[in-house]
Amino acid sequence: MKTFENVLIHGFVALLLATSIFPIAWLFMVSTKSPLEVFARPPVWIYKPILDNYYEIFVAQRFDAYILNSIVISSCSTALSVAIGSLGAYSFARFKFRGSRNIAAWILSTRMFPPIAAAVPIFILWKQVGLFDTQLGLTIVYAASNLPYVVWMMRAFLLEIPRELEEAAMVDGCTRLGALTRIVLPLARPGLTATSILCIILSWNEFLFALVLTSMSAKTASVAITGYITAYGVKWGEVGAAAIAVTIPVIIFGLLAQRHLVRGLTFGAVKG
Amino acid sequence: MLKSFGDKQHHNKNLFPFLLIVPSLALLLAVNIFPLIYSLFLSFESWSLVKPGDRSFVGLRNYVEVLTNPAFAEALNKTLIFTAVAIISEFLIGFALAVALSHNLKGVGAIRSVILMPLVMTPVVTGLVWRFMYNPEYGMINYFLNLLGISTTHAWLGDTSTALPAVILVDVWENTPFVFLILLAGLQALPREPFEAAQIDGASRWTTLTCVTLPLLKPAILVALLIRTVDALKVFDIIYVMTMGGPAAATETLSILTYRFGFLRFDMGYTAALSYIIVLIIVLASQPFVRSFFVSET
Amino acid sequence: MGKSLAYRLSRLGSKRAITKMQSAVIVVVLIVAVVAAIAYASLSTPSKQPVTIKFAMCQGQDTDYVKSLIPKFEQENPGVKVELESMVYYSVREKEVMELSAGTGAYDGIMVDFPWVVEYAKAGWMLSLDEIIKDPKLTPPDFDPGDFHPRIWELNKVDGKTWTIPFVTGVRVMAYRADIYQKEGLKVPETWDEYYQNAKVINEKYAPDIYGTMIMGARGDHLNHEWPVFLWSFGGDIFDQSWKPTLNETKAIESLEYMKSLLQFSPPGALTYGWYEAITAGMDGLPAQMIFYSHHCSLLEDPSTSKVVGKYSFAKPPKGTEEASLLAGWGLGIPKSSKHQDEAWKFISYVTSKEGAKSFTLAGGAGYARVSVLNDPEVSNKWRFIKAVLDTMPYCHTHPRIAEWPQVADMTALELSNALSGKKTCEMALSDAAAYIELFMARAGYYK
Repeated sequence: MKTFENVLIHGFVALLLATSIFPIAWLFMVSTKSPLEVFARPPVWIYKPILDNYYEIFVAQRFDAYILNSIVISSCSTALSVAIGSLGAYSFARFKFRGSRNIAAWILSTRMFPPIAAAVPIFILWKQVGLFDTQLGLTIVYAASNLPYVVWMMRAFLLEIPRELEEAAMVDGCTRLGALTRIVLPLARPGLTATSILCIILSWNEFLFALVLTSMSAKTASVAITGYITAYGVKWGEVGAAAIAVTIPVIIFGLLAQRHLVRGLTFGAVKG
Repeated sequence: MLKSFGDKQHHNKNLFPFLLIVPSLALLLAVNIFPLIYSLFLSFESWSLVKPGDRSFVGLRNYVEVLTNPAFAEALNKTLIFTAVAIISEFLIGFALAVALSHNLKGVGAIRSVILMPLVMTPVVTGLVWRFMYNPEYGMINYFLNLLGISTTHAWLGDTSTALPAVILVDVWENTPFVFLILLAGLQALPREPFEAAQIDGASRWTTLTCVTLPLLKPAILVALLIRTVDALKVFDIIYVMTMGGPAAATETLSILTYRFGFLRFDMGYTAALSYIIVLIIVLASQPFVRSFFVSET
Repeated sequence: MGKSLAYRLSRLGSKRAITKMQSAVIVVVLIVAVVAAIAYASLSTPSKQPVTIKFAMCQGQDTDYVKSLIPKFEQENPGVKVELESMVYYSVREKEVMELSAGTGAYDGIMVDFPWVVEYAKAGWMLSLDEIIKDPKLTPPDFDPGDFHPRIWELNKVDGKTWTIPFVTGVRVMAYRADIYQKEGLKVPETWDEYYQNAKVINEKYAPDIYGTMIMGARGDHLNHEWPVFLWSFGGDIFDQSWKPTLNETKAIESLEYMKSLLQFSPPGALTYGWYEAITAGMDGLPAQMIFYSHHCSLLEDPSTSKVVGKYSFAKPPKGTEEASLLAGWGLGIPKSSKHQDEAWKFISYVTSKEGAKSFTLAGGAGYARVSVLNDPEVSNKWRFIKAVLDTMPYCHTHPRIAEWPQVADMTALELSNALSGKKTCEMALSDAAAYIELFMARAGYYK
């Protein structure tokens, strides 16, 4: 009975693993197939992989410009939100002042806000302020969107660093700032890294705001991919190449941060 | 010694910590609060982007029209069905997987790495991959079904009765890892004593599961439930890419409906009113969870 | 003993790996961000030459042909580079409105579906082209704007001014499988009754290999192209003289009932058919008869996509109480906010010139807005549907030429879809549509 159960469990897990990997593996295959092979019925499993699709989108269609936008916007917004949010997180972790609990809760609640509801007013406002279709415009929006994650994740990390260490340093003559840079910062590095990685992933994958707030100049990779959906069908080979190019970086980042991903996504409530 | 240290800082105490959070508040004010207020004023106006000169105050008319438009009730319906079915499925599968793996810890790390992929994959890409998988002639779904002996060229995303389930399946594929990871972490953090006690008392596996495991897991379950509920109510990316709300509004959720009115009809006032109603719905829906989240946080 | 892959994968996220990685990651990200920002800043510095003009285009074969004209254009116009942003239909619409209302000058040229011309013109977003057409420095002498078919040229004018140049022209004609007709001894239908009878006979005999006809039944804007041919030929119309909706009147209901009755002779899944599915079905030769857009007809004759080259013949659509069809298309225009209006015009006049239009049409595009192209024997010998276009043109109606049409069209499409899918009766769907439209038009100030 135990063995049968073991087999069942292993089978179940194996099935789920296969289901998780298959679409991505298959996407990779499509990206290296020629148009005939992509539409072959029955599907072709053994074939000679080609790089034409990648060439087509990167060289002929300048997809790299959109990837560049994604890189710039993701990294700048992450830097901004981590810097600002960590300060706030430090405050919540170390001090209890009037209303700190409520403000922290409010910051958390902004994450619940549906982006589509903010899309229309921000679109109009950004248009009037000249931030429409600019990298800066999207950067600001992403920094704000990721702020709740940063604040709560860094708060959880900072709470783990005993405050006695700073206080001891300050007793020894350090200023608070000195204590921050010499004691807290090095100890908070894993937290900062994990938080940054999470923010990069979230910004990179974001779609709705990028769709609404960009046009030709600041278009990000995730929006550019949808440009391959035509009225006459989807150019699957090229979509595949673009999709792989867009999603491989986040998969890598995700693997790097996996231990902390759960904690970040649950605002420190659950340790991964 | 600590006492005097505290006194020295006393009059700074209220200002400095507050200053630290000012940048965060400023950013959120600009990107969150300000648009919200602007949107409120906008919702009382009649304004179409394609008629720039033609703006007028119309009071609550937009709200009335939103609520009396049958499309709204339909979208709400679709969104609720989507959310309920997706969440139930994700929890069932995620919990089963977490329980299965909490016993054999061997290889959990590697399994987690693989399971993570659907979660971090760019949602737009996920939508596109599955759109091809659902393709009636060239897609993998029909291919595998045919291999299993079920001959079909069904257009999953093109048929009004299968489009919504098909889309829900993609959401489940994408987000079950999230539920799984949270429940696994929760399971791994559980103390041993209650289980040992139950075993001594001769409790069956099912009783242990329902009377010991589940109650102890409540905090983790609540967190996962809160986040998944809110996210499922907001779903947009995968639907935009796979069906754009079609066929015939079968997959038109609240977000897609809002997008249609805002960016295809360019009816700004109407869309603002619609957005407010949606925010209200989501805030109301998340209230019970938020409260228990903070209770368990203390 | 080597470490297994599984072990390695799981160790990726370990604390030690993070510690090693943390500095590396942070540093790499910062460097990349800085480098990228610098690269972007330097790349976006406006340079004197060359000028790059950006066009917003709708995806499709016509845009592909234009793309193929670019190298020659750039050769003849050194200092100008052309970039086409090719998007799906609703994206073009969305991006154009967003961009035009923001006025940031992201697009120097836009491809405008005729219904939008009125809207954009009245909103004041477009550059009126009458002046620039007459400018000898920018317009080649043989541009000859009078060569454009007057009915098509009219679609580009609002309030007496010209806002776009006709680029793609579509007329709904009838396409039929001449081989099937011959086999069954059927004659080319001239009335809707004959069309119905043919469909019935063919469907009974040939389904599921070949179907009697085809209707695009999915919800979408294509319904506003599928239905009006029936509506007008039954004697109905969308609006009356004073812009009150008449699409809930008897003739309109009858026309919709007729269209719905054709569904039984259409391929299964016709209720999921939009442009893409309809064109694919045509290229597979599935419908024995269909009302088809002339600018898609070349796809039926293209051996690289069509399985039925040469099998379809073309004629005017059948008549009800009168003959009617739909004329539509796209034009190329220049936003007022464009910073390179002259260069944009050079490209537009190049693409829509006599040779440009002719080579475009010969290659399979729908550039026959020009009378010279329509009457050119080389063109009509290659493309057999040109004669049908010429025959149908006198009976063509166009969509209502008001700025509100895109919004009205959206409401109409919704109700048409409800009727076709059986959710509502034709009568109910059309009267709901009429009620909604009347309210909308009243708000827009039409009934003062």
